[in-house]
Amino acid sequence: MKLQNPPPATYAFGYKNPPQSGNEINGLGVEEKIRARHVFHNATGEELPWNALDEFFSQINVWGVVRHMLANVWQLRRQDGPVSGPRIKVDDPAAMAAEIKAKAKELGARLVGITEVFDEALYEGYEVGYKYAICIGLPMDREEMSHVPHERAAVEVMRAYKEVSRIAIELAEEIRAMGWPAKAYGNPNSTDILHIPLAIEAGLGQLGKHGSMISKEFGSNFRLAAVLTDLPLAIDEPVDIGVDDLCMTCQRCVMDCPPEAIFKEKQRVRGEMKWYVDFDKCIPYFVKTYGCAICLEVCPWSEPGRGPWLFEKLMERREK
Amino acid sequence: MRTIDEQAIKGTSFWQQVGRDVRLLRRIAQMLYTYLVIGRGIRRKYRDKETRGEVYWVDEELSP
Repeated sequence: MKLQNPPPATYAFGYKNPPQSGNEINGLGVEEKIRARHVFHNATGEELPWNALDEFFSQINVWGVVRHMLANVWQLRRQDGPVSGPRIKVDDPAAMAAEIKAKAKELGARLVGITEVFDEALYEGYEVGYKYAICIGLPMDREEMSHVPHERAAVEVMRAYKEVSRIAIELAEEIRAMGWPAKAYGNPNSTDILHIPLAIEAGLGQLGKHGSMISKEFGSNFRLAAVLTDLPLAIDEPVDIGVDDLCMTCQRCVMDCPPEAIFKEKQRVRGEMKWYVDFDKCIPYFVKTYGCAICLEVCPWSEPGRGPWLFEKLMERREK
Repeated sequence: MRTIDEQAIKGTSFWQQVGRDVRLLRRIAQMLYTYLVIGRGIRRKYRDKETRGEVYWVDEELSP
């Protein structure tokens, strides 16, 4: 994909007194395993070091984004609620998992995986009280996303979030009708869970060099939501589709990132070596361009139909 | 315009749900007002500063 005139990484906004580095808050260079902390997008209402920039982002954003966001806030009133039917007995968690995945796909999900909720997928100080996470992925319209980092792509991102949120909400309602508690997580702002670690464990894809997920089917051109529940379900395994094999040598997102925020090598973050994006460089550009997403769209995996082919080639190369 | 994920959503009765929806509608109206009215001033000031080659200091202008 060829980029259409990305604006330069120069800014007419900033902090007079810069807050603590987002990289420090994110645990860049930290050796021990610790939980993530909220830093920027935040739906919890607590005051965060980067709140002023987040507020600025909200206010300079375009109406097309804001209207989808508000519609999502409205539908999220149904994200949780009391169980609404007699509890069904689950003798076969594998069969139930297959049923739930089929329901999610019926509702419009294109990627579905299940994992147990684990500590590293929760923000510091938060507990969720559910055992399983059903992770849902929905691709974005590639034609609209080809306009990154401009307005049309930003609107498509929020439309996709609203749509994947609807799927999660309706799936949670179906589970509650089976007599089991379930809560949908469809807010693109940070809440109490981290979507990416859960989705990786649920087998939806792997972490890419650009710090976002790559799935075999859609590359990085998709958005996530989740349903947390106690309904007994068989869990999926993480997948290895060869993302590291490609990202170790590919430099596409690194070269196309205007603020040069993407590290060429994995970094130690909260006790784990992983791909990481420099928060302090990325976020100002993200704000200036209403959400950027260049790295997601220039990724070779995101080219329609290319993912499965790349997967096969990478696996063949590994066998040689 | 940060959103609150954890709303009062556990209501069981019809009237509890109505109360929840009214509270949320008020909140959405407030967010809309902030974007359309207060945000308009922010966007104008930012664009003016950008045109003049100045910097809009978010911590000075937007911190509570």
